[in-house]
Amino acid sequence: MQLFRKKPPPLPRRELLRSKPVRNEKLTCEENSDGEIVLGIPRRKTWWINTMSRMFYVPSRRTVVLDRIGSFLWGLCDGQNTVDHVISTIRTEFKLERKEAEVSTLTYLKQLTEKGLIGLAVANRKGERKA
Amino acid sequence: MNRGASKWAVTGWHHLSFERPEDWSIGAVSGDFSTGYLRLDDTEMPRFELRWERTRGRESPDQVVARYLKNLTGKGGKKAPPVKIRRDLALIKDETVLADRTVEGFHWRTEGAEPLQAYGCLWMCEICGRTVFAQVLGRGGESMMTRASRLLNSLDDHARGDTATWAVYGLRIDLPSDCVLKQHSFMTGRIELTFQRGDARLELLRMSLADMHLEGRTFPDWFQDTYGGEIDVWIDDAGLTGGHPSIGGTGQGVDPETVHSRMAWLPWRRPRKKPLSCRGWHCTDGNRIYVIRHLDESHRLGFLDEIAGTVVCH
Repeated sequence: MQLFRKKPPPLPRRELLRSKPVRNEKLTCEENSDGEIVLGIPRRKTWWINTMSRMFYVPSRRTVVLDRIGSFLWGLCDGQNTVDHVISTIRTEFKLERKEAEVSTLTYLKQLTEKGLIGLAVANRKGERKA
Repeated sequence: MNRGASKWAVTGWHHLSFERPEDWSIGAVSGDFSTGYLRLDDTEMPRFELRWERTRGRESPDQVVARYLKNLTGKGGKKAPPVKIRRDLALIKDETVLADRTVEGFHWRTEGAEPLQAYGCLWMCEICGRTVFAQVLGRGGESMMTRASRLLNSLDDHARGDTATWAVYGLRIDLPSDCVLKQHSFMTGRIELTFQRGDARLELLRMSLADMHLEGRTFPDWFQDTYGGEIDVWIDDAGLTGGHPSIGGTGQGVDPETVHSRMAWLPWRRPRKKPLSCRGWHCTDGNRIYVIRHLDESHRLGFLDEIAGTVVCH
């Protein structure tokens, strides 16, 4: 429950740019004939969905197809590249201005993070990494 | 982070133009010709602030600077680390620039965990009647005098000659100095600038990721699909613009000023059409599409050609 729960402070910009996007290992990832990435997201096993699945057909996984830029970006989310590097690569590949690449990449990464498709590995003060 | 050795580019906005390191881009922009604000950021922090407004009253530049610095030192409260200030700095050395301006230069530096500093100046221009405040920001230990000096010395606050430079996010165009910016829209991958010149309306559109917009079509096909509805006479070979073959045409375009949302069914509130001249090209080097539309009382392809020729697209 989120009620009265304190929101975690937003990641400072400098740390955000140094963080490394990591794919969710529970997802399946395939490439279709158009070269786009198709993600298979397993169904959450909550009591509510389990109950519903006894009455209705609920697919065991849901698929998300990423477009050309999304697929390219997904390829960069391997836990090795920092967000800053991802932005620079997107900028070079698609010939965008730094600000254009930054705004669109950060928005997209935020969406992927909110959907639980990726996580951001952030180096903490002692140099350790947490995902 | 910029260390002063990178490439420099021009930014032009409301007849204010200056050179800045290429990796600084617009982080905030607001206002119009008479009053406004522009901020440039690099990947880490705000790097340059520019404010302008019509000169009113009899305050001298040093009084305005004194007020700004007083506000700056008063912001932190008693417990905040002190702000070191230097005044009367001769940051602008160009005599031709100083001829019609009263300039007041300053430097401030904060102390503490994350110290900041800024070189700035404020002047009142007698020609355009505006007071301009500009400051270049940096971290406490950073050597930034050379960079700040170059930027501030390149800063100009009114059009020289008949044209004014408009340059944002890598797009640059020179327009007649009587063109007034009516609207602007900076979206990711899409920049739109709309200018008014008397009754004429000039629209400039730049779209990034051109190959995704084209979806496998050639640029002329895309242009005809997108603008075909308002163009009657096509000019398939409108010459080279920025080294790229362009396409154009003339027709009748709806004047957006006459589009009403309320009671639009009344005959006298129906949208009116105006002669439209249009020009577009695909910059393959920058993977961008450029379109210029000009609505006026008559077709003015010559004027459009002239303007399109000043666009720096890559």
